[in-house]
This record gives sequence, structure tokens and C-alpha cells, in this order.
Amino acid sequence: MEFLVGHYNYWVVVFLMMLGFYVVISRTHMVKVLVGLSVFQTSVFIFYISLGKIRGGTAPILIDGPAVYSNPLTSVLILTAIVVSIATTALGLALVVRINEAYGTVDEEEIDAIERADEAAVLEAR
Amino acid sequence: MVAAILLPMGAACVAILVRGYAARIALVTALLTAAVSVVTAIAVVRNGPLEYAMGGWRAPLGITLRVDGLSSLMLLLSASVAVPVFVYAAAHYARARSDERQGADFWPLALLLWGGLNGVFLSGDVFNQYVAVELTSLAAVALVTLGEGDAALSAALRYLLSTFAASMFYLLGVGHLYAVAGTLDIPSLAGTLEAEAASYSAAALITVALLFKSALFPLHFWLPRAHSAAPSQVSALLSSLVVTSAAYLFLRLWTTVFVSVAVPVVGQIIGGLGACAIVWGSLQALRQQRLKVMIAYSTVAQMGYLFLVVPLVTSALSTPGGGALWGETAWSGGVYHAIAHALAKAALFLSAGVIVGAIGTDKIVGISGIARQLPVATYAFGIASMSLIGLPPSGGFVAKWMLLTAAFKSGQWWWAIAIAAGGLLTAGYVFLVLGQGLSQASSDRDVELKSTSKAIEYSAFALAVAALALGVRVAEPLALLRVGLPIEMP
Repeated sequence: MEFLVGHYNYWVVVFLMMLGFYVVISRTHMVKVLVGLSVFQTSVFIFYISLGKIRGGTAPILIDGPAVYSNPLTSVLILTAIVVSIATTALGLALVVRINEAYGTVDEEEIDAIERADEAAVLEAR
Repeated sequence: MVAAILLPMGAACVAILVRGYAARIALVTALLTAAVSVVTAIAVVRNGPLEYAMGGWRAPLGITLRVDGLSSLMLLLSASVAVPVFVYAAAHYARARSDERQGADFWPLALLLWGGLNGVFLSGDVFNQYVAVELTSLAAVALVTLGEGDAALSAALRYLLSTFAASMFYLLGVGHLYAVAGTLDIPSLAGTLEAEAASYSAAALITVALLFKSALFPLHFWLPRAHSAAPSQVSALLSSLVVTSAAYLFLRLWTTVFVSVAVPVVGQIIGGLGACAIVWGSLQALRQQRLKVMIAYSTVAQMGYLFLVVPLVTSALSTPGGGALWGETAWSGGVYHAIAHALAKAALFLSAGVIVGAIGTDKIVGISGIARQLPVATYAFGIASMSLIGLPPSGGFVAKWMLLTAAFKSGQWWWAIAIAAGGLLTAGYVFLVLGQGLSQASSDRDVELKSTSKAIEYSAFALAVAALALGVRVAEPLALLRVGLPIEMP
């Protein structure tokens, strides 16, 4: 029981990760897939940040006397990773907008069907 | 050394601002970066591995860049692929006025891609590598969207989703590594990892992520569409450098950080997947009716060879004397194959680009008789195919010979079957194309070719010749590779 409660941050991470990953592999609506990927990314970020946290630790700033502080490195790493994830999400959403303009749908299966029809037409026409 | 990353990235920023001069800026940067890569290689040969501490902070605190023989070879590879591709692109965009806007978008992204790749090759720190890999992937996805038609868009989105899901696995694995070892520096990690649960999960997460990014069967599904929908000059960069950079990272981490947790059984499984990739990718390539899709499937097959190194090297690591007997041969053979394949594949995509651009379709049946009209491009295609099949004297032959030797010496003869079968199947699909190209022009096709320029044809030819030259001058690259060998074999 103590194992379960003591590591509650990891259970949150695992739950969010599985949720996000499930959405990524099960949905065909591309915006939903991107949202799933975002949830997945966030779970990894929480994993890192909770890794560096020490109970009762303060922020790593200079104060008089000895102090217990949390590991700042994990937060710094995630700051970089958040920037990367913003870029990827923005690029993904921009692509979805362009795809919607081109195909009139953002559903992966419908796009697949349209593409197969196009491909067959091209190969047919000699 | 830092210049190899900063030059392309800085030039990318400038190229966004002054779009009219982007091509000229890119070409000058390409030559400068290539010069930097050569200088770095010479320095590595003379003085051994180099280190650079970013901002003056040394390893446990700061981020270090490292160049050993392997990194330096990869830098040279990225330069020798990028320069001809840039020449091709410059000539292409100078002629095709309709593509002018695409050209202005191509240059900053291509420079960014190159900077990211050099970042992957030089980083001595797993998190820094994550950032470099992400930069590369972002640029690669954006480059795919430059392709013609709607198919390029959906291919790009699929590429984005799969590559960033993989990135998250990688990042999670890096988190596990940090939790276990308390450092992100590769040489510091190499000694500390103990065989415990968290190390295994870190190894598993990073392995899956990198297999995904290097498109090892059965995680290759995103590759053929993305690489064939992109413009040819982009396909050449993606298929030769981007997948290779992921495989490079895989080999580097497996032979340094994960040595203590690398179980031979996992090595055999990955090798098995590699063998499946060779057979499946080649069979798919044989079935394709479009030239660029065929070449993309050929990439899936050729990446399989790289992963045959894994069982050979892991078994050498656990056998006393195995390193001297076959481990080093397998290792050099794998790296040599990566280089030979990258050069040959870039040559194939560029010559396919010449042919497709001239006849306006990429159906294989449409290219009959093309050899008479585009002799240089067809010749380049032929020479590059030779290296891909592994006919002597070519880089592909040397690499496959070393892999075969290692397979027999280690007693794992079954990999030799995959290597030989792959060569045969490769011959099958390239001869389908060459056979069409060399046949008499069919009468129903009006021979109206769009004109191409000499620079376009000869840039493909130069790459093909480079792949061939690797088979003639073997000693120098192998000597460079041996500088600061990352693995210590018993």
C-alpha cells in the first residue's frame, strides 16, 4: 500500500501516458490524435519534474544558511522539451489545417480512401 | 567543430530573412561547412578524439560536444551528401521558375536539417541528442510538405505523428537513464549502468524509439510515403541522412551506454528484424509501379543490413577474443554500409529526380528508352545500384563483404543468408528499372523531354561516383573510424 501511495506521481504519469498513447493509436480524427500526443508529451514532462522534486525542498535559489532544494536540472530540461513540443504541435495543427483545405476532411480513413482512389486513377491512365 | 552546427543553423536564419539570396547563402554555407568537416576529420586523425565544452562548463555540469572517428566520418558523410544535393536543388530551382516559392522555403529548412544532423553526430550528451533529433525531425517534416499534391501533406502529418511519438519514448528513456545514473553525459553513463529494472526499461524505451526513427521493419510504415511524396532533393536528404542519423544514435548508445544491459537474445531479435526488413523491403520494392516508392522501399531493406551488426557485436562483447575475431569487422562493416548506402541512395533519388522531372511521370513503365536521352542520369542510377546490390568494386561490396566475414567467423551463418538474398532481390528491382531504361523507346510515347541542366545530372553522378570510390579507397575511412573506437571488446 505504501508503495502505491508513495509513488502516486508515477501512477499519474502512467495513467496520462497510456491515455495519450491510446488516443494516438485508436483515433482517426487527426486533431484528436494530436491532442493525444500532447497528453502523452505532458505525462513525460510531469515524470521528469516529479523526478527532481524533494519533499520539503525549496526552489534552488541562494538563501542564507543551508537549505534543502529540489533538483533544478530536470525542470530545465523540460523547459527545453516544452519549447520543442510547442513547435511540433503547432506544425501538426498547421498541417491539419492544410489537409482540411486540400481534402475537405481530417479523418485519416477518409483521406486514405481518397488517396487510394487517386492512386488507382493515376496508375490506370497510361 | 561547433561551426559544423552553428554555420548551417545561422545561415538558415539568414536565409529566412533574405529569401531572394537564399540559394547563394546556402551554397556558400554548404562549402564552408564541408570545409569545417574536412578540417575536423584531419584534426581527429592527427590528435585523436576532440572535446568541446559548451560555454566553458565541463562534463558533469555542462554539455560537451565530442568528435571521435565515427562522428567525424558521419560529419564527412553529411557534407558529401548535402553539397551535391544543394547543387542539384540550386540548379533545379534556377530553372523551374514555377517552383520559386518552394525554393525559398527549401533552403532554410534544408540548412536547419543539416545543422540538426551535425548536432546529432557531435553531441556527447543524451538530452542534447534528443534536442538535435527533434530539430532534424521538425525540419524533415516541413521539407516533406514541399512535395507536389495533397498526398505530401498527409504523408507529412503521418511522418510527424510517428516520429514524435517515437521522440517521446526516447525522452522517457532519457528520463529513466537520468533517474538511474544521475548524469546525461554518454561516457559517464557508459560505466555506471547496472543491470536493474530501470536500466532495462530505459534501454527498451530508447531502443524502440530509435528503431522507429530508423524505420526498422515492422516500424517502417511511415517511411515509403513520406520519402516518395517529398521532392527528389528532399527525398535524397531524408533517405540517406535522417534515417542513418537515428541508426547512428542506436549503434552509439548500444555499444557504449547499454553494453551492461544488452542481452544477446535481444541482439538476435533485432538482427532478425533486420533480416526481415531486408527481405520484406526488397519484395515490396519489387512490386512497386512507381520509381520513387520503389527507391523508398529499398531504403527500408537497406536499413535492415545496419541492424545485422547488433547480434554480431553483442555476441562479440560476451565472447573473450570475439572483438578481435569478428566484432570489429562487423562494427566497421555496419558503419561502412551506412555510409555507402547513404551516398548510393542520395544518388538514386537525385537521378530519379532528373528522370521524373524530364518525363513528367514516375511510373516505371514510363521510363523506357530513357538511357538514350539522359545517359548521365541513367549511368548514375546504374553505378549507385551497383553499390546497393554490392557488386565489386563499390562501397556496398566492401561493407557486405565485412558483414559476411563477421557472420561466418562468429558462427552465426544464418545472417549470411539474409545478406545474400538481399543482394539478389536488390538486383531484381534495380534491373527492372535499368531494363526499362535501356530498352528501345516505345513508339506510343512522344519523346518530349523537358530540358534538364548539366549541373542537375552531374550532381547525381558525383554522388554515385563517391559510393563507388568507397570501394576503391577502403583503408582511409576505416583508419578514421578506428580513432577513439567507442566500444571496448574483450
